[in-house]
Amino acid sequence: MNLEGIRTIDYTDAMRRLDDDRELFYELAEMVLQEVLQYSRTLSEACRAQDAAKVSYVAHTLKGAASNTSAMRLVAIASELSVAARTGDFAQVASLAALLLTERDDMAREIQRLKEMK
Amino acid sequence: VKVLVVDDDRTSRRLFELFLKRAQVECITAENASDALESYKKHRPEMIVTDWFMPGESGPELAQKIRKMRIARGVFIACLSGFDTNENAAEASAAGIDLFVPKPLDSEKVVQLLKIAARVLEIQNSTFEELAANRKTSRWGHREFEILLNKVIRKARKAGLPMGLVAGRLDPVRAESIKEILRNSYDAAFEGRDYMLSVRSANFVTAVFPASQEELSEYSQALARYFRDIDAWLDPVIATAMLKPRDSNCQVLLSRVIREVSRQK
Repeated sequence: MNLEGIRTIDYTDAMRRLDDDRELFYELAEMVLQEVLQYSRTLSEACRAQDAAKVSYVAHTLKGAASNTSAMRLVAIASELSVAARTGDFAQVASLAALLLTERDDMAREIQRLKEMK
Repeated sequence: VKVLVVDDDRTSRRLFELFLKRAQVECITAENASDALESYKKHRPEMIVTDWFMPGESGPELAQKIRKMRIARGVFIACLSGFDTNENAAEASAAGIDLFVPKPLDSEKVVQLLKIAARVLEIQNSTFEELAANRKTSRWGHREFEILLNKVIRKARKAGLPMGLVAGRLDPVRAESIKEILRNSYDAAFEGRDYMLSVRSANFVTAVFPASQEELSEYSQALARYFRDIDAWLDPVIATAMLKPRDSNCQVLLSRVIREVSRQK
């Protein structure tokens, strides 16, 4: 999956939606980071069980959570997960689950960078 | 206003909780439809905001269950979804959802949502209050109507004509179309005769003259059947009363109709 040109976090958009509340942004971002770990585990289980409905559910919930913090790359991965669930492409689901963890690390670094900028 | 937020995603719940707190609105949260139903029964919020896609029952399924509850007839239900297609909007509406809100959430959307809900709830509450007041005081119609009715009574007496009154309670949302239906039905039933018709926000009281007791009874029964068929009533009650020689004013006539309504109920 090509994530080039997509920002890890669209901070300007996040601040607009959260009324410039940095503390709220960090609080929500921490929640998203924790949830990505859980979703990644759920996706691995869903892959093993070939459970497309569960993948769809994770994709939807992840998209909702990530969009609350304008984590644009996570939103893009969640959208791809939806497509993979619809087509029953579990190899792609497994690959996206791995990408999810990489993106989580990137997001954590981005959050740290934003905190230091303050 | 108390709001019940139903979402399996805790970031969305937290976000809503905070935006509502800032708007000084009390917020209760639930993670799924089943918890939401319990919470609704316990807290009776005026508004519910639910996610569409949740484990177990979906937002529209929750809305359908809530709408079937007698205690929930006035609750405002909004549904949040990332899939804001026309099909989803139609499904939401069919399930009894008042407003379909596309995700993601932001503070402006929450403010607008609260404004819309407050406006709808205000209209609804005033209608329910009016209905309740009418039931409590047995007061049908308004002052202007009473003045008009007294004039009609005087005219009927002077002409030595019998006079009948048909009264009912209607669905306020459809007041205008019902008024049109009533006009057409009067024209068909009492061709060429004068009548007066008054429709107010939460009830209607109509007078027709001249009409015999039999004519009036037949007409009111046909009218009741018709309105039951089109499901246009909050309370499908229609009553009639004839002016008697010793009746002094419209209040006597109105009281007689109210007694008849109470008897029917």
